[in-house]
Amino acid sequence: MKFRFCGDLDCPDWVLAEINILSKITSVKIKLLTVQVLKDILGESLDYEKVHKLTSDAKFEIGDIKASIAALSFILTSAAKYNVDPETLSNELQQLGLPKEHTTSLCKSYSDGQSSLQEHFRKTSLRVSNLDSVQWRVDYVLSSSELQEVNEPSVQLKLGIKPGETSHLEPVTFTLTADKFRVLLQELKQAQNIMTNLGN
Amino acid sequence: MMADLKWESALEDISKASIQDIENLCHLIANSICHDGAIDPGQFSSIWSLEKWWQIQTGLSSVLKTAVGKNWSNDQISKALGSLDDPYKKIICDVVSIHKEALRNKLIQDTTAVSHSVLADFDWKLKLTLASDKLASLQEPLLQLSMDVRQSNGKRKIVTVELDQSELSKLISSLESCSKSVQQLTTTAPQP
Repeated sequence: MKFRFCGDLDCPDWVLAEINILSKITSVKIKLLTVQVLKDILGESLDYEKVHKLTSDAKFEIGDIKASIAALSFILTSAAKYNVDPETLSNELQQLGLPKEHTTSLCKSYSDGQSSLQEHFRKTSLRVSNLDSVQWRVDYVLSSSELQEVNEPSVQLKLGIKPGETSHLEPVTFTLTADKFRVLLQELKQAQNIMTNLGN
Repeated sequence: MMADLKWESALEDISKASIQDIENLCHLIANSICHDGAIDPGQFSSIWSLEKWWQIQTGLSSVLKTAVGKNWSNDQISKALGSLDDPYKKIICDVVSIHKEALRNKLIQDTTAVSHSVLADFDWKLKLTLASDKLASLQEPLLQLSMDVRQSNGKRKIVTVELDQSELSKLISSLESCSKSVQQLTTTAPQP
Protein backbone atom coordinates (compact mmCIF):
# COMPACT_ATOMS: atom_id res chain seq x y z
CA MET A 1 0.00 0.00 0.00
CA LYS A 2 1.10 3.50 -0.76
CA PHE A 3 0.86 6.27 1.77
CA ARG A 4 0.85 9.99 1.11
CA PHE A 5 2.79 10.72 4.27
CA CYS A 6 5.53 8.43 2.97
CA GLY A 7 5.68 10.34 -0.30
CA ASP A 8 3.34 7.91 -2.08
CA LEU A 9 5.55 4.98 -1.21
CA ASP A 10 5.21 1.95 1.01
CA CYS A 11 5.48 2.56 4.71
CA PRO A 12 8.88 1.28 5.91
CA ASP A 13 8.61 -1.97 7.80
CA TRP A 14 10.33 -0.67 10.90
CA VAL A 15 7.74 2.10 11.23
CA LEU A 16 4.97 -0.48 10.95
CA ALA A 17 6.55 -2.43 13.79
CA GLU A 18 6.94 0.67 15.98
CA ILE A 19 3.33 1.72 15.46
CA ASN A 20 2.48 -1.37 17.42
CA ILE A 21 4.66 -0.16 20.28
CA LEU A 22 3.15 3.32 20.13
CA SER A 23 -0.33 1.88 20.62
CA LYS A 24 0.76 0.61 24.02
CA ILE A 25 0.91 4.05 25.63
CA THR A 26 -2.16 6.18 26.26
CA SER A 27 -3.31 8.77 23.74
CA VAL A 28 -2.63 11.59 26.22
CA LYS A 29 0.96 10.42 26.58
CA ILE A 30 1.24 10.18 22.81
CA LYS A 31 0.29 13.83 22.56
CA LEU A 32 2.91 14.86 25.11
CA LEU A 33 5.50 12.64 23.48
CA THR A 34 4.71 14.14 20.09
CA VAL A 35 5.27 17.62 21.48
CA GLN A 36 8.69 16.54 22.73
CA VAL A 37 9.65 14.99 19.41
CA LEU A 38 8.48 18.09 17.53
CA LYS A 39 10.76 20.16 19.74
CA ASP A 40 13.62 17.83 18.92
CA ILE A 41 13.07 18.12 15.16
CA LEU A 42 12.88 21.90 15.40
CA GLY A 43 16.32 21.94 16.96
CA GLU A 44 15.43 22.41 20.61
CA SER A 45 16.72 19.66 22.78
CA LEU A 46 14.65 16.70 23.79
CA ASP A 47 13.88 16.38 27.49
CA TYR A 48 14.87 12.74 27.97
CA GLU A 49 13.79 12.65 31.58
CA LYS A 50 10.33 13.78 30.67
CA VAL A 51 10.14 11.25 27.85
CA HIS A 52 11.22 8.55 30.24
CA LYS A 53 8.46 9.53 32.69
CA LEU A 54 5.86 9.63 29.91
CA THR A 55 6.63 6.11 28.87
CA SER A 56 7.24 4.64 32.33
CA ASP A 57 3.72 3.37 32.98
CA ALA A 58 3.74 1.47 29.69
CA LYS A 59 6.87 -0.25 31.05
CA PHE A 60 8.92 0.76 28.04
CA GLU A 61 12.51 -0.35 27.86
CA ILE A 62 15.22 1.95 26.58
CA GLY A 63 15.01 0.29 23.18
CA ASP A 64 11.26 0.87 23.01
CA ILE A 65 11.65 4.52 23.96
CA LYS A 66 14.23 5.03 21.27
CA ALA A 67 12.08 3.23 18.74
CA SER A 68 8.96 5.21 19.52
CA ILE A 69 10.86 8.50 19.27
CA ALA A 70 12.29 7.39 15.93
CA ALA A 71 8.90 6.38 14.60
CA LEU A 72 7.26 9.63 15.70
CA SER A 73 10.13 11.59 14.17
CA PHE A 74 9.72 9.77 10.90
CA ILE A 75 5.95 10.24 10.79
CA LEU A 76 6.08 13.95 11.61
CA THR A 77 9.07 14.75 9.38
CA SER A 78 7.79 12.82 6.43
CA ALA A 79 4.25 14.17 6.69
CA ALA A 80 5.54 17.75 6.83
CA LYS A 81 7.95 17.05 3.97
CA TYR A 82 5.16 15.89 1.67
CA ASN A 83 2.75 18.53 2.96
CA VAL A 84 0.16 16.03 4.12
CA ASP A 85 -2.83 17.55 5.87
CA PRO A 86 -3.56 16.31 9.44
CA GLU A 87 -6.76 14.57 8.41
CA THR A 88 -5.09 12.46 5.76
CA LEU A 89 -2.28 11.63 8.15
CA SER A 90 -4.81 10.53 10.74
CA ASN A 91 -6.56 8.28 8.21
CA GLU A 92 -3.37 6.72 7.00
CA LEU A 93 -2.07 6.06 10.50
CA GLN A 94 -5.34 4.35 11.34
CA GLN A 95 -4.93 2.18 8.27
CA LEU A 96 -1.55 1.23 9.65
CA GLY A 97 -3.17 0.10 12.88
CA LEU A 98 -2.70 3.00 15.27
CA PRO A 99 -5.85 3.42 17.41
CA LYS A 100 -8.11 6.34 16.56
CA GLU A 101 -7.57 8.26 19.86
CA HIS A 102 -3.82 7.97 19.30
CA THR A 103 -3.96 9.29 15.76
CA THR A 104 -6.25 12.13 16.82
CA SER A 105 -3.89 13.38 19.49
CA LEU A 106 -0.82 12.83 17.31
CA CYS A 107 -2.42 14.72 14.44
CA LYS A 108 -3.55 17.53 16.72
CA SER A 109 0.06 18.18 17.65
CA TYR A 110 1.08 17.73 14.03
CA SER A 111 -1.43 20.30 12.82
CA ASP A 112 -0.13 22.74 15.45
CA GLY A 113 3.45 22.16 14.39
CA GLN A 114 3.09 21.60 10.64
CA SER A 115 3.83 25.13 9.49
CA SER A 116 6.77 25.63 11.84
CA LEU A 117 8.15 22.23 10.78
CA GLN A 118 7.91 23.19 7.13
CA GLU A 119 9.41 26.60 7.79
CA HIS A 120 12.27 24.89 9.61
CA PHE A 121 12.84 22.46 6.73
CA ARG A 122 12.73 25.34 4.27
CA LYS A 123 15.41 27.14 6.24
CA THR A 124 17.60 24.11 6.71
CA SER A 125 17.33 22.90 3.14
CA LEU A 126 20.69 22.57 1.49
CA ARG A 127 22.33 25.88 0.74
CA VAL A 128 25.75 25.90 -0.82
CA SER A 129 26.50 29.30 0.64
CA ASN A 130 24.88 32.25 2.34
CA LEU A 131 25.59 35.92 2.31
CA ASP A 132 26.15 37.01 5.86
CA SER A 133 27.33 40.59 5.71
CA VAL A 134 28.04 43.42 3.31
CA GLN A 135 30.48 46.21 3.92
CA TRP A 136 31.39 48.92 1.48
CA ARG A 137 33.50 52.02 1.15
CA VAL A 138 33.58 54.63 -1.56
CA ASP A 139 36.93 56.20 -2.42
CA TYR A 140 37.53 59.17 -4.61
CA VAL A 141 40.68 58.52 -6.58
CA LEU A 142 42.59 61.66 -7.37
CA SER A 143 45.66 60.47 -9.23
CA SER A 144 47.60 57.33 -10.01
CA SER A 145 50.74 56.16 -11.69
CA GLU A 146 48.59 55.16 -14.65
CA LEU A 147 46.52 58.29 -14.94
CA GLN A 148 47.56 61.71 -13.71
CA GLU A 149 44.08 63.05 -13.15
CA VAL A 150 41.67 60.30 -12.28
CA ASN A 151 38.95 62.09 -10.30
CA GLU A 152 36.71 59.06 -10.29
CA PRO A 153 35.07 57.23 -7.43
CA SER A 154 35.93 53.61 -6.82
CA VAL A 155 34.09 51.17 -4.62
CA GLN A 156 35.49 48.69 -2.13
CA LEU A 157 33.21 45.83 -1.30
CA LYS A 158 33.56 43.23 1.38
CA LEU A 159 31.15 40.35 1.34
CA GLY A 160 30.99 37.94 4.23
CA ILE A 161 30.15 34.63 2.64
CA LYS A 162 29.19 31.67 4.76
CA PRO A 163 29.86 28.41 2.98
CA GLY A 164 27.22 25.81 3.77
CA GLU A 165 26.09 25.40 7.35
CA THR A 166 29.46 26.08 8.88
CA SER A 167 29.78 29.00 11.21
CA HIS A 168 33.00 30.42 9.83
CA LEU A 169 32.89 33.37 7.47
CA GLU A 170 34.82 33.65 4.27
CA PRO A 171 35.34 37.32 3.63
CA VAL A 172 35.81 38.40 0.01
CA THR A 173 37.13 41.87 -0.59
CA PHE A 174 37.55 43.58 -3.91
CA THR A 175 37.64 46.94 -5.60
CA LEU A 176 35.52 47.90 -8.56
CA THR A 177 35.17 50.93 -10.77
CA ALA A 178 32.14 53.13 -10.42
CA ASP A 179 30.94 51.95 -13.83
CA LYS A 180 31.19 48.30 -12.96
CA PHE A 181 29.51 48.99 -9.66
CA ARG A 182 26.56 50.58 -11.45
CA VAL A 183 26.26 47.58 -13.75
CA LEU A 184 26.44 45.19 -10.79
CA LEU A 185 23.73 47.01 -8.89
CA GLN A 186 21.58 47.32 -12.00
CA GLU A 187 21.79 43.62 -12.75
CA LEU A 188 21.12 42.61 -9.16
CA LYS A 189 17.98 44.74 -9.28
CA GLN A 190 16.96 43.04 -12.51
CA ALA A 191 17.34 39.67 -10.82
CA GLN A 192 15.36 40.92 -7.83
CA ASN A 193 12.54 42.00 -10.12
CA ILE A 194 12.32 38.59 -11.67
CA MET A 195 12.40 37.07 -8.20
CA THR A 196 9.51 39.17 -6.90
CA ASN A 197 7.50 38.54 -10.04
CA LEU A 198 7.90 34.82 -9.46
CA GLY A 199 6.07 35.09 -6.17
CA ASN A 200 3.00 36.64 -7.82
CA MET B 1 61.63 57.76 -23.09
CA MET B 2 62.56 60.60 -25.42
CA ALA B 3 66.18 60.15 -24.58
CA ASP B 4 65.95 56.44 -25.23
CA LEU B 5 68.28 55.63 -28.09
CA LYS B 6 66.37 52.55 -29.12
CA TRP B 7 63.23 54.60 -29.38
CA GLU B 8 65.07 57.25 -31.41
CA SER B 9 66.09 54.62 -33.91
CA ALA B 10 62.58 53.15 -33.84
CA LEU B 11 61.26 56.58 -34.78
CA GLU B 12 63.29 56.41 -37.97
CA ASP B 13 61.83 53.01 -38.68
CA ILE B 14 58.32 54.32 -38.30
CA SER B 15 58.93 56.52 -41.32
CA LYS B 16 59.65 53.39 -43.35
CA ALA B 17 55.98 52.49 -43.22
CA SER B 18 53.31 54.39 -45.09
CA ILE B 19 51.13 56.82 -43.20
CA GLN B 20 48.21 54.48 -43.83
CA ASP B 21 50.07 51.58 -42.22
CA ILE B 22 50.99 53.66 -39.18
CA GLU B 23 47.41 54.81 -38.81
CA ASN B 24 46.20 51.21 -38.92
CA LEU B 25 48.86 50.14 -36.49
CA CYS B 26 48.04 52.90 -34.01
CA HIS B 27 44.36 51.99 -34.06
CA LEU B 28 45.26 48.35 -33.54
CA ILE B 29 47.51 49.25 -30.63
CA ALA B 30 44.85 51.44 -29.03
CA ASN B 31 42.35 48.61 -29.31
CA SER B 32 44.77 46.08 -27.95
CA ILE B 33 45.45 48.30 -24.94
CA CYS B 34 41.74 48.71 -24.24
CA HIS B 35 40.85 45.07 -24.64
CA ASP B 36 44.02 43.42 -23.38
CA GLY B 37 44.48 41.82 -26.76
CA ALA B 38 47.57 41.05 -28.79
CA ILE B 39 48.36 42.14 -32.34
CA ASP B 40 49.53 39.67 -34.92
CA PRO B 41 52.98 40.92 -35.92
CA GLY B 42 52.72 38.94 -39.15
CA GLN B 43 50.80 41.64 -40.95
CA PHE B 44 53.71 44.05 -40.54
CA SER B 45 56.50 41.57 -41.21
CA SER B 46 57.02 42.94 -44.73
CA ILE B 47 57.87 46.35 -43.26
CA TRP B 48 59.86 45.59 -40.10
CA SER B 49 61.84 42.77 -38.58
CA LEU B 50 60.26 41.19 -35.50
CA GLU B 51 62.65 42.98 -33.19
CA LYS B 52 61.91 46.37 -34.74
CA TRP B 53 58.23 45.59 -34.60
CA TRP B 54 58.43 45.04 -30.84
CA GLN B 55 60.29 48.30 -30.33
CA ILE B 56 57.80 50.24 -32.38
CA GLN B 57 54.81 48.56 -30.83
CA THR B 58 55.96 49.10 -27.24
CA GLY B 59 57.05 52.63 -28.04
CA LEU B 60 53.79 53.62 -29.66
CA SER B 61 51.66 52.00 -27.02
CA SER B 62 53.56 53.82 -24.32
CA VAL B 63 53.09 57.11 -26.19
CA LEU B 64 49.35 56.49 -26.47
CA LYS B 65 49.03 55.58 -22.80
CA THR B 66 51.16 58.44 -21.52
CA ALA B 67 49.44 60.97 -23.78
CA VAL B 68 46.07 60.06 -22.31
CA GLY B 69 47.40 59.41 -18.81
CA LYS B 70 49.06 62.79 -18.57
CA ASN B 71 46.38 64.48 -20.67
CA TRP B 72 48.93 65.78 -23.17
CA SER B 73 48.04 68.39 -25.74
CA ASN B 74 48.91 67.72 -29.39
CA ASP B 75 52.01 69.90 -28.98
CA GLN B 76 53.20 67.77 -26.09
CA ILE B 77 52.61 64.59 -28.10
CA SER B 78 54.53 66.02 -31.05
CA LYS B 79 57.36 66.95 -28.73
CA ALA B 80 57.52 63.43 -27.35
CA LEU B 81 57.67 62.05 -30.87
CA GLY B 82 60.84 64.07 -31.46
CA SER B 83 62.22 63.89 -34.93
CA LEU B 84 59.29 62.05 -36.50
CA ASP B 85 57.86 63.65 -39.66
CA ASP B 86 54.89 65.91 -39.10
CA PRO B 87 52.27 63.90 -41.07
CA TYR B 88 53.07 60.86 -38.87
CA LYS B 89 52.84 62.99 -35.75
CA LYS B 90 49.46 64.26 -36.84
CA ILE B 91 48.18 60.72 -37.41
CA ILE B 92 49.29 59.69 -33.93
CA CYS B 93 47.67 62.77 -32.38
CA ASP B 94 44.45 61.94 -34.24
CA VAL B 95 44.51 58.36 -33.00
CA VAL B 96 45.01 59.61 -29.44
CA SER B 97 42.03 61.93 -29.66
CA ILE B 98 39.82 59.26 -31.26
CA HIS B 99 40.60 56.66 -28.62
CA LYS B 100 40.94 59.09 -25.74
CA GLU B 101 37.82 58.07 -23.91
CA ALA B 102 38.34 54.32 -24.28
CA LEU B 103 41.98 54.63 -23.25
CA ARG B 104 41.03 56.73 -20.26
CA ASN B 105 38.49 54.12 -19.21
CA LYS B 106 41.15 51.48 -19.50
CA LEU B 107 43.52 53.55 -17.38
CA ILE B 108 40.79 54.01 -14.78
CA GLN B 109 40.40 50.25 -14.73
CA ASP B 110 44.15 49.88 -14.34
CA THR B 111 44.04 52.41 -11.53
CA THR B 112 41.32 50.43 -9.82
CA ALA B 113 43.43 47.35 -10.29
CA VAL B 114 46.07 48.97 -8.08
CA SER B 115 44.50 47.06 -5.23
CA HIS B 116 44.75 43.79 -3.34
CA SER B 117 42.03 42.38 -5.55
CA VAL B 118 39.66 43.69 -8.12
CA LEU B 119 36.37 42.52 -9.55
CA ALA B 120 37.03 41.61 -13.16
CA ASP B 121 33.67 40.20 -14.07
CA PHE B 122 30.51 38.80 -12.61
CA ASP B 123 27.66 36.61 -13.75
CA TRP B 124 24.43 35.59 -12.19
CA LYS B 125 21.69 33.10 -12.64
CA LEU B 126 18.32 32.90 -11.05
CA LYS B 127 17.07 29.50 -10.01
CA LEU B 128 13.80 28.27 -8.64
CA THR B 129 14.42 25.62 -6.05
CA LEU B 130 11.74 23.00 -6.44
CA ALA B 131 12.46 20.44 -3.77
CA SER B 132 15.07 19.29 -1.31
CA ASP B 133 15.70 16.28 0.89
CA LYS B 134 13.91 18.12 3.66
CA LEU B 135 10.88 19.42 1.85
CA ALA B 136 9.16 17.91 -1.19
CA SER B 137 7.95 21.24 -2.50
CA LEU B 138 10.07 24.33 -1.91
CA GLN B 139 9.33 26.77 -4.75
CA GLU B 140 11.96 29.18 -3.55
CA PRO B 141 13.94 31.44 -5.88
CA LEU B 142 17.70 31.55 -5.37
CA LEU B 143 20.16 33.84 -7.07
CA GLN B 144 23.59 32.49 -7.76
CA LEU B 145 26.12 35.24 -8.09
CA SER B 146 29.53 34.35 -9.39
CA MET B 147 32.33 36.89 -9.14
CA ASP B 148 35.62 36.73 -10.97
CA VAL B 149 38.09 38.37 -8.63
CA ARG B 150 41.64 39.08 -9.78
CA GLN B 151 44.02 38.93 -6.89
CA SER B 152 47.16 40.99 -6.55
CA ASN B 153 49.29 37.94 -7.37
CA GLY B 154 47.56 37.85 -10.74
CA LYS B 155 45.56 34.77 -9.95
CA ARG B 156 41.87 34.47 -10.68
CA LYS B 157 39.53 33.51 -7.92
CA ILE B 158 35.94 32.68 -8.68
CA VAL B 159 33.72 33.39 -5.73
CA THR B 160 30.15 32.20 -5.81
CA VAL B 161 27.40 32.94 -3.40
CA GLU B 162 23.78 31.88 -3.27
CA LEU B 163 21.32 34.53 -2.25
CA ASP B 164 17.73 34.05 -1.25
CA GLN B 165 15.20 36.83 -1.50
CA SER B 166 15.98 38.40 1.85
CA GLU B 167 19.74 38.22 1.37
CA LEU B 168 19.45 39.78 -2.06
CA SER B 169 17.34 42.66 -0.84
CA LYS B 170 19.78 43.17 2.02
CA LEU B 171 22.65 43.31 -0.46
CA ILE B 172 20.80 45.65 -2.80
CA SER B 173 19.75 48.07 -0.08
CA SER B 174 23.32 48.18 1.17
CA LEU B 175 24.64 48.81 -2.33
CA GLU B 176 21.94 51.43 -2.93
CA SER B 177 23.30 53.65 -0.19
CA CYS B 178 26.76 53.08 -1.61
CA SER B 179 25.45 54.04 -5.04
CA LYS B 180 24.22 57.35 -3.65
CA SER B 181 27.71 58.31 -2.57
CA VAL B 182 29.09 57.20 -5.92
CA GLN B 183 26.57 59.34 -7.76
CA GLN B 184 27.35 62.34 -5.61
CA LEU B 185 31.01 61.92 -6.42
CA THR B 186 30.44 61.57 -10.16
CA THR B 187 28.31 64.70 -10.36
CA THR B 188 30.30 66.90 -8.00
CA ALA B 189 33.91 66.41 -7.19
CA PRO B 190 34.64 66.77 -3.48
CA GLN B 191 36.48 69.84 -2.30
CA PRO B 192 39.44 68.83 -0.20
